[in-house]
Amino acid sequence: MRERLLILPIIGVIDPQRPRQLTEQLLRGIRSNRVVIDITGVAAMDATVANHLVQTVEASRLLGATVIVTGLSPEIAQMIVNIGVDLGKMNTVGDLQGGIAQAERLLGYKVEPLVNGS
Amino acid sequence: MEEDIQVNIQSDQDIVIARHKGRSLAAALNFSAGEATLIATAISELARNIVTYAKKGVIRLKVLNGESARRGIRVVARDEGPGIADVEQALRDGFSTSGSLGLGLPGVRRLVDEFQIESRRNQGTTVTVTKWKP
Amino acid sequence: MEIPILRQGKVLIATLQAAVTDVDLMRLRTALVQEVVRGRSRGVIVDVTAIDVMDSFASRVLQDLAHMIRLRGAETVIVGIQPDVAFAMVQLGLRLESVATALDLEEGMDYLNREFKTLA
Repeated sequence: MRERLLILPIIGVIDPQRPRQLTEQLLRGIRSNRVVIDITGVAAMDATVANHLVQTVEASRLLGATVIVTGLSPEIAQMIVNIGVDLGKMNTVGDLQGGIAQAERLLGYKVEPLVNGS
Repeated sequence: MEEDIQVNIQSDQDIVIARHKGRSLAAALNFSAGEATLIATAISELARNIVTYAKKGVIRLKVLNGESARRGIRVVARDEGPGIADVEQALRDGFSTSGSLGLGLPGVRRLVDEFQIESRRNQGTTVTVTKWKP
Repeated sequence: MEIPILRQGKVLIATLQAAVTDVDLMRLRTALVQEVVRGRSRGVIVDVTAIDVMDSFASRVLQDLAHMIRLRGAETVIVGIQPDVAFAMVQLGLRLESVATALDLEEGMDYLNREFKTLA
């Protein structure tokens, strides 16, 4: 059975209202077992949102998905570490290309770009 | 729709009944499915604490009508059990007795909007949590 | 309420219904371990698709179950945790550590088949 990759780009400033919506969207969208969350476009993130990101990763895991977070800036990485999360337990990669590459490694074959959630 | 529901908690079956009523009430108030699950989960944990530590107690579910037509659900979990000797400790994350999650109160607090607890040794425990419709 | 256990080759499948009580869960844990031994099963799938609330007790029983079954040489996969339930679990701090999870029955079977190949 072919495994598909879901890529979720997050852009802009994440205000407190959005995290819950993003999580719900993501969790409902999981139909594959590898998910890449790209936060390259995120300008700023406070501790609450960082916490939420961690929770989203953990909840995705319960749905059987492995989450790869890409585009983690040093500042956000530091924030996550400060929350007390072991970054070693999260799959993180510097950029989206790297994230896809890692996902390909995990999947064992080359991934084609998703077009409109097909 | 009932505005005030009471469920006696004494057995594991009562836990299921209480959370089912909580979910129904949440649905009747048009809470989202996700919010209804948070409410039902909080009720389950509170009812479970009653069964485990106090043997019996009561869970009350109330509909709240707040300011500017805001609606909410209030859950009051009350028992006459042994009470919590150190409430501060119980509310601290990571508190555990014998390697378990203990009373899981910090967890319950994260599920709801408002959380209040009154407990004294040998005088029972009352936990009141509220979830508002956004 | 008794939870039926189906056998599919070397895999046991137990499907939980919505109104599962603590006692039901504990009975299931015992029954599954017994069945694993009796049938020399290599895998167990617990389908919780219909479960609308997963609290600390359910989480603990599932972890115990997986641990006991592993001691019997078999692998457990929990499938079908719903998005809302997963979110609530994470808020409560329930992570189901050391238990494999999969999206649904099909993915669960795929996971077990991969595991069987690796272990063979």
